[in-house]
Amino acid sequence: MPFRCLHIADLHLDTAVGGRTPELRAIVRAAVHSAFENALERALQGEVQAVLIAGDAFDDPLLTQATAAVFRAGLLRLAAAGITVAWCTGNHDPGAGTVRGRPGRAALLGLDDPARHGHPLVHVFRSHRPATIAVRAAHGAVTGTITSIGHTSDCDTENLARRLARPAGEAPAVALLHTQVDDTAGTEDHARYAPCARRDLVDAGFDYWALGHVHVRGRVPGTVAWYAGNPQGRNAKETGARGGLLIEVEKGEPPRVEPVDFCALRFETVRLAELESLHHPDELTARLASALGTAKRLPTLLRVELAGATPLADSLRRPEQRAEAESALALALDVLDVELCTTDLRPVRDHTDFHNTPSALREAHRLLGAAAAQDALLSVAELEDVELSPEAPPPGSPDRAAYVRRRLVGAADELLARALSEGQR
Amino acid sequence: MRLLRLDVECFGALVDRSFELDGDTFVVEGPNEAGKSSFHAAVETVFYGFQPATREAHPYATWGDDRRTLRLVALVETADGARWQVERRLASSAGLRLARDGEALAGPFLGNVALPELQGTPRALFRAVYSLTANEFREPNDEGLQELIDELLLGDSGLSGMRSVRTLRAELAEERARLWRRDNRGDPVDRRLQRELGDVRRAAREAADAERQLALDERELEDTNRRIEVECAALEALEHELEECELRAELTRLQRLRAEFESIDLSGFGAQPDGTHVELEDPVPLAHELRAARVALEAPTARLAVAPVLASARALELLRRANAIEHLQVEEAEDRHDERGLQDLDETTETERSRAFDLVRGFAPTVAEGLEDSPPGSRSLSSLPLGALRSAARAWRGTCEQRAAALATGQRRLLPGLGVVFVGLCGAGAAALTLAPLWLGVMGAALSVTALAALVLLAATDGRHSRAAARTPAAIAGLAVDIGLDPACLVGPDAVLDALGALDEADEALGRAAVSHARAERVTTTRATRHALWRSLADEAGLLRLTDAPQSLPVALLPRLLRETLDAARDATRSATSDAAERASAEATLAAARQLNGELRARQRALHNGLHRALNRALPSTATPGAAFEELQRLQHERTVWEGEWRQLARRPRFAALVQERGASATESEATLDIPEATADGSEGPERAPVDADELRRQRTRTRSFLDDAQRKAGELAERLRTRRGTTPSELRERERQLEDELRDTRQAHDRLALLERALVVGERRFRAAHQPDVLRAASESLEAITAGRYGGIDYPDPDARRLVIRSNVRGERVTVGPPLSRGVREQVQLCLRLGTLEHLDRGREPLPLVLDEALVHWDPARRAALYPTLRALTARRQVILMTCQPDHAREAVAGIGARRVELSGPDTRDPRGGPPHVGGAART
Repeated sequence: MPFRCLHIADLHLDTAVGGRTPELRAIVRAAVHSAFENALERALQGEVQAVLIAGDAFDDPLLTQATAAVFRAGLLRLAAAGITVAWCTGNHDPGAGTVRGRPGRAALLGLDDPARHGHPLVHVFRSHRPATIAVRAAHGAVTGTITSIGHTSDCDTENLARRLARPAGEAPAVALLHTQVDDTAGTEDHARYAPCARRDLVDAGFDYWALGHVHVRGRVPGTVAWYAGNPQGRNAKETGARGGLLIEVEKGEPPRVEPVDFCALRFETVRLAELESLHHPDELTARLASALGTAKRLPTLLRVELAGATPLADSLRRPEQRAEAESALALALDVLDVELCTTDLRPVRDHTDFHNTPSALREAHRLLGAAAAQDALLSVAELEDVELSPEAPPPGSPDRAAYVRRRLVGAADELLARALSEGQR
Repeated sequence: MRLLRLDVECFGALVDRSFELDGDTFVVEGPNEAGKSSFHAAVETVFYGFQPATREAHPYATWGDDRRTLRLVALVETADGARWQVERRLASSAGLRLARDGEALAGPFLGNVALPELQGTPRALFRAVYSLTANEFREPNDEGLQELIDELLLGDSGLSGMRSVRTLRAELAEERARLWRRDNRGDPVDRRLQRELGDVRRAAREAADAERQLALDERELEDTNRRIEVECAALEALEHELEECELRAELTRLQRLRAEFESIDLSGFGAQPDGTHVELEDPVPLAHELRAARVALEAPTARLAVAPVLASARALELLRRANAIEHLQVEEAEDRHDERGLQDLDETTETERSRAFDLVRGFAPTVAEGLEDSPPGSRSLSSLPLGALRSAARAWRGTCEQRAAALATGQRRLLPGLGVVFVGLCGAGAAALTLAPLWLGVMGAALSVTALAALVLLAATDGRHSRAAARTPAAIAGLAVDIGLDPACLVGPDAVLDALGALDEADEALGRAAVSHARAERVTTTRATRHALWRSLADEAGLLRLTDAPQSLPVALLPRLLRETLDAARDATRSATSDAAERASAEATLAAARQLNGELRARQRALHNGLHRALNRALPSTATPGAAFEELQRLQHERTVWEGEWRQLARRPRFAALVQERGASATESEATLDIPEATADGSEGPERAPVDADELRRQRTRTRSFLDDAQRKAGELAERLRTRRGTTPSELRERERQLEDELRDTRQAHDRLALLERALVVGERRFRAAHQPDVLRAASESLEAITAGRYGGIDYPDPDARRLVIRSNVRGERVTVGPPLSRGVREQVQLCLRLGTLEHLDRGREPLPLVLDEALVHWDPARRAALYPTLRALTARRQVILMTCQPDHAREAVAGIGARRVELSGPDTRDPRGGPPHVGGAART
């Protein structure tokens, strides 16, 4: 009999979310909760024997007591339905006191305290001591084991995966861990907490590794480890459908993994270039509608990156007109919000004379254009001694040139646009 | 671009003029008001159009009323050798027409635009560099001129529609300073965001702390609730223990009391030997009941005390008299002697008397007269001896009849007749006795006796009468005289009898009249009496006092009023009578009740005394039997309650265990409700061990106090958990992130602007390095040539300082171009700067003519002469047009650079309005 589990991670309840307005952020926050509820409902309907939560269930400093109660009630609901719950703590929900010497919220929830809210089927792994629990069927037979270890602080850098070893027995063995596997896609945006190598995962001998920390759902190549991703995208960086993994594990067999979506809304990013033919915002609507397709979508927060020359550049660069266009697009596309990014947009103009006529402006334009290019380090050097804000790396820093170059992306066009007299803009 | 020909139809002072300009250098010479400025403006207008583009506002529109269309036609040649005809016209609007040389100018006019080849050279640049007057050589402190120099030397010139680098730099510097600056002057956006960010971070920390505190609170709440549960259980156990302890003590007391009760003689209660049953009841309610019954019985008695007042003697007298009046009323009603009846009686009296008078007057007139004077009630005929006369008459007639009967029928016929008369008389007498008053009865009886005697005599004297029948008896005669009877009536017995009959009839009439009168009198009297009685009664009843005029109060009203009064009195009397009966009954009942009450009280008192004595032994504190009884009742109730408690206590397992320990079964104890007796070792009741109840109470108080505190604290914690308000940490974190993003964007925007600004500086530097040296070198060479080596080395060392400097070769130092340097030298520097710029400007542009309009007026002849070679060198790429009003200057130019001379004649003095004169003749070149 396969060991059937629901693998979720990185719920990040009560985390700070993206959204351009407080109203949108409230919607996204509610969506994070809804995704958790969706996961619970799926677990209750999916005949799973265990729910694995691979850390970062919440952001400890941001967790409200109300959400803590909701989270606790959710786990107890699962337990009441006979589903084993295994939750290992991550760097955002560490198991011990790290915030100004106070105990972490994972401890305060009291889920591992029988005197408080503890339940025999709810297991919280919040220490560096590995533990294994057996999941039993109704008739008492062990259908699987879960071995896990938790983060105790928000900056655990020890390789916790090495502490885990497959328990003896014939039951399918699942490991649960919040970790960052080196050299894995999607990890570049995440801090290296409790890092491990793929080799560690392979050597441990588990039938399935339920991982958390990386918010992108996917398998760690060459292993039986999967990142569940987070159930709900929280900002424009976390685009697309999100959810968890429904897994079936048998000893000695590759796990059967079925992605399931729990997100209540989606962040999407569309990049549009070659906009020379756009003369009216309605044409932009048509292009976007074509890019998004006609399928029924979840509520969406859409980010549109516009690039290149277009007759609409001037109007879209003006904040008021851009806001109007965004509202019209949101309405036409039936999405929650549309954000137009016009940084890379430039107007269609003939600057032949400008480029053919020697002038200080032309020199400056050429300088900026060259500096923005990766290989124009010498040109950048002329700009490096400018007094910049504290945001910039200090002079002499190896990152300063890169910082300056990032600032100079599109600067040449901007200079040209600024140099144009009012009538010419 | 060269200007080959210029035809002026109308433009300022020039009207219908034509200038052939096919050459490199020209000098336009003419006195003041000859049209040199018009010519200068016409050249610019050919290139760039009319400015302003309205005829009314244009300074060179025709003066006076002759508003003509401004029109210029020129032939120009571009650098590539193409020749164009240019027509500019300013009528209602300004227009431009172009045509190849040799083609006709046709087609619609274009707008007032510059020539296509001049798109890269704006009019301002033309004016600043190519078309100069002495006014253009101003001091560099003029902003416009300075900008021009900047443009000339810093590479901005030639960019159509572009703002100057200096303007851009200033704009960028201002903008970036608004975003961030190290000294934070002006409160830049960065500082503001940092402040807000600090606030948000502080609020976020506080919110996070608050949430964490809430979590701790929740845990504390759970602990508190758990302790509350424990303490509640302990308190419950304590309560039970204390309850048990108190119960035990109470049961002990009850045991003692029960022993005392058992010694009380209660034989007075329950079944009595006489078969009655006396319940042990509270006498107080019974006494209350009896008291209530007595009060109920005394109520009618109290009501009776009022009745005698109502039934006073006066009222009874009134009642009696009212009855009499009622009786009178009844009689009055029966006799129908009301007002109308009384009148009838009077009428009857008068009628009967009149009839009697009439009858008497016929037989006895004198009697009649006496009768009329008699009172109505009198009966005067009765005093007359009519009976005697009638007897005599009848005797007389009997005699006569006897004699006749004897004669005819004998005596048998007389006797029946006499018998009839007798009977009649007896009847009359009886009737008189019955109907008439006494005296009439007596009179009737006398008459009857008299008639009887007369009959006896008549019968005895029958024979004698018959004898005497034939004559008038003397008695009759004497009686007739006494009576006053008319002698005519004495003619025979029948006549006498007839007269007597009439008199009798009159007498009867008088009798009836008297009766009627008497009745009327009686009615009148009765009415007066009744009225008097009414009034008396009314007066006594107080009715008359009710009115202001008692005498005017109608008597008719009095009966009704009195009747009402009497009815009231009668009702009162009747009520009093009824109450009296009721009172009698009530008093009897009351007496019986009092007796019963007394008996009951006596019995209760006896019982109480017995109880009191008994209870005094058991309850020495009770002072009275009532208190003792109440105490007894209370104890009974208490015992019942405690027995119930004991039953509950007996059901408890621990007690059952205790009982079991003592060898008794709980069931048995519960069934018999027996309180376990003292054990063999002397301890009482179901005690486990001696327990200090006070200590238990103190412990309970402490526990309760702790529970109160804990529950209050739990309530506060729960309320705090429930009412958590305010921005959540995640919201604050979002705001913090948003501010961080804004701060980062702000700083990055600043850095970008700073880099742009720096790029402009670098661009300027590069441009100057690449191009400025040529311009300055050419300008310096010109200056050295013009000043014969006295000055040179024009430089623009610091764009920010915005100062031109030259080198004084004589003094060997650098001199700032400005006062106290002479004006001529300053103008020469400015001109040389422009001459040096021309080559630079020509790159990528159409070379334009250089027009110097009186630009050399401040120059000395030597330096003017030194300029001409330089100008001649320029003619290789452009035309040079000089304008002067000085013939000497014109000649110098002709001689110096071989310029063709164009002379303009003087002003037309014929214009009477004094306006600018029209130039009359054609140009002479």
